[in-house]
Amino acid sequence: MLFLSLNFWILFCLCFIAYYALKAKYQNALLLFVSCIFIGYYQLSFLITAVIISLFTYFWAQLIEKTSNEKRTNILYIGGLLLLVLIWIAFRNATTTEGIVQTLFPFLKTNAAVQSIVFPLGISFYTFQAIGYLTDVYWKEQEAERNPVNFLLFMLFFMKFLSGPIERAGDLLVRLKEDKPFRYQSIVYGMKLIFLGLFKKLVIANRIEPHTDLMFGSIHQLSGLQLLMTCLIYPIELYADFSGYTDIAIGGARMFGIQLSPNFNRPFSARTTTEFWRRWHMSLSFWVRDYLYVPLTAFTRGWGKWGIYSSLILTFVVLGVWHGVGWSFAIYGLIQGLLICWEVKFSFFRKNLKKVVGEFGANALLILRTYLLFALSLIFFRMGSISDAFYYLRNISFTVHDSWKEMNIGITDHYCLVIGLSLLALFIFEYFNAKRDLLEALEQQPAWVRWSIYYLLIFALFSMGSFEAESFIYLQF
Amino acid sequence: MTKEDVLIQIQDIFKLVLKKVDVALTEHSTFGDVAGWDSLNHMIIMSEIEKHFKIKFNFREVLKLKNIGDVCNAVLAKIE
Repeated sequence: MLFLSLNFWILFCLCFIAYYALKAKYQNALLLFVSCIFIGYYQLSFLITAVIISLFTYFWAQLIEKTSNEKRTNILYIGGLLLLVLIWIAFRNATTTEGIVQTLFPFLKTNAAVQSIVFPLGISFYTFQAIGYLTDVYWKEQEAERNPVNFLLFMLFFMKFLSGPIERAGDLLVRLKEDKPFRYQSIVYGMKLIFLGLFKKLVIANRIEPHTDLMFGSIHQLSGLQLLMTCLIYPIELYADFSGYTDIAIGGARMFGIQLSPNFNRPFSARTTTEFWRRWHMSLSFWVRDYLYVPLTAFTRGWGKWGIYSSLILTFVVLGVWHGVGWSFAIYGLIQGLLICWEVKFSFFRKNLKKVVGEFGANALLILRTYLLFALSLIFFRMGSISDAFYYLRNISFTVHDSWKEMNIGITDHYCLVIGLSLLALFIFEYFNAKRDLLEALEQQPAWVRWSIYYLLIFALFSMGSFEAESFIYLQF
Repeated sequence: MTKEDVLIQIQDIFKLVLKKVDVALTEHSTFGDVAGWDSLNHMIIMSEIEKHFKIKFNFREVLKLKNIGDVCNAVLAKIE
């Protein structure tokens, strides 16, 4: 039941009507019930896995909180953490698990059982949320939740279950306990966000996706220019797809009066890779910062800058591996870590650049540099195998097989124009939206202005959007 | 040593690490209030504070320090 399927929107509408018809004290129970339907609809085992992990976290956190002996608390916390991580790794790496089990116990007939393991949707997101919650309780920054409905909803809420945002108990659990009366303004705002998400996904991401998929699937047949253009356009597709998903998730939650955390803040305006990771997949990068990087730097603070460098590299390798077990994801993370270390060590380069080419010129060059480095690192993220990624990088050039028309990577001139103009409109919208909330400002306009804009955008969505692909890239994580 | 004395000395450490002369700290200063103070140099500052006052925070203590007031209180508790 994906966000772009009819089934989902029927369930969403029924849930929405029932939600505001019910008394406030039953609203969270309804959302939990609908979340279970949403998850179980994919596969019952996904729901069972998610509920088991959530209930384990719920009871384990209470156990940690109740225990007064510090040594015992440490053991409970580390035990709980290890168990959650091992479960996640086992599912993430099911085929290797099969290999390990067969090597250690060749007499066991585990093959069929292990082969039937399917990677549960959303497990990377809710496992990290569970680890964050256990850590907050252990650090005494968060009280263990006693209400099982609220806690299960915090873990399983259907608008953020598949691909985040990864929420903190201090934010979402608190909001879930607040009253959520029918607020027309909030519901309309949520609908506008959903529309924005659909626009990003259908008009930009879905129009690019078939072409980049084809290109990445046949890199050995491509010209240098095709490799270059695919590399350059992939970050746009990934951004439109994932931030589109996030807008739908945040907008949908807002219609139920629940505010989810932001995940993107104009990442392509970042002047450094350090800044980029404060703007891209923010709920994950802030998670690794608070629960991994900060503790690591606390341990290594006596090492001076080397403590920072080693912590940065380890943190970003983990961030890379979060996307999938394999060397290519580890290298993707390693590149981010090394780039940030470089920026910390040689910050004077940026200051000198400003003196040479002026503030505007330096900002433009730095934004371009940050984008290009991210685009190149994404080759490891997308290719899956290191040898293919290196082949790809070695063969990027301006050479063509037949003509310069190859630079459109198979997208027709009409859709090149549609994607280009949509992207331009999106970036302009995001630029001004960062200064003043345009969705709220639109609400202040006369009805004829608002509805003219709505009709125009709906017409654009249906005439230019591609409704063929329902899936989102980050569902695989 | 008073809290104000500790605050002034911590302010000097910030100036040294951040390589800035215009750092003005208050007890309520936190990330975002002081330009240049971020997660990339936070622990270097903590390490310099430990060296300066010849104290050692444990792991849990150093993670609990949320603002400059917390840091001053933690330093005072260690040196008294």
